[in-house]
Amino acid sequence: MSQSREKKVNSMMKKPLSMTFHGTLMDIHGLGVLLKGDSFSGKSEVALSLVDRGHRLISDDAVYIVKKDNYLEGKGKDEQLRYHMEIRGIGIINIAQLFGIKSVRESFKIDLVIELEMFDSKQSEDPLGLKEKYCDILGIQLPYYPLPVNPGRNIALLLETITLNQRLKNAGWHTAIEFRNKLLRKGRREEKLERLK
Amino acid sequence: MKLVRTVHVKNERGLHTRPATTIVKLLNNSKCDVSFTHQDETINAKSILSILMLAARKDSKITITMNGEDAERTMNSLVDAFENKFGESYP
Repeated sequence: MSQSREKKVNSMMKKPLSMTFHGTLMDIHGLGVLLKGDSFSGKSEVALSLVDRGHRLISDDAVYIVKKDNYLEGKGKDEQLRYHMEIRGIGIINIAQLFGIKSVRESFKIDLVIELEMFDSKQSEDPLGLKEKYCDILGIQLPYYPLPVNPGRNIALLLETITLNQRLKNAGWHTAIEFRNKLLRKGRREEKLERLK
Repeated sequence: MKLVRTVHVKNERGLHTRPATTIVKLLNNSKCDVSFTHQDETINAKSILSILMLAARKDSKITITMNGEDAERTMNSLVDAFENKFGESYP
């Protein structure tokens, strides 16, 4: 084996295949959504709200992520702490006991990452959502959505909407691109009519 | 400012619920990111569930990493808390 090839194989061997991620993993409408955000950004409260709306919790606070062939799988690291959640002002709650076994699942693939962040008026550089953003976790690229959080926004509803929109994209229907194309077609049609006049 | 310090758990029962609560309370008002590393596991030290997940026993080595504007002050109070066994004493 040549030296460079040996180096390459060694570096591949050293690549981590698992990690503990500070965040929350939910099954929303059949997609695995990894919620990211600073401490006290409200991840657990949003997860609780989503469970109440019929979605399922895999793990809160710490998600153990394992790299499979070409996808990532997340689960709770500790069996005893699994399905527990810390809600400020309430304390520790057990989602499986409170909402029933239908509201939790042991593990799930990760399809997209949503980051809750403080609202910043300078952020809205892509109001139509044409640009696709990705984030890298253990060498796998996942669709990434930074979501500004500010009082009055229904975050659980927004997360459901992002997830449904991602399902449309996975099915080959990109609403923002379709919308832009419609406008372009309309512009061209009007140009043609102008020329005919 | 980034600071890294290593401490040992002195509490008889390790990092159980009471020390974990003290740590989270202490870090609640801190503006820096704080993480604990124990046996190749790195967690966010502002989360009580994550601290409990470490299941660090007595004499375990914990590496504290802090990054932020008040890192020095927060690090000193946290290391003091570890040294004082988080105010716990056993007969």
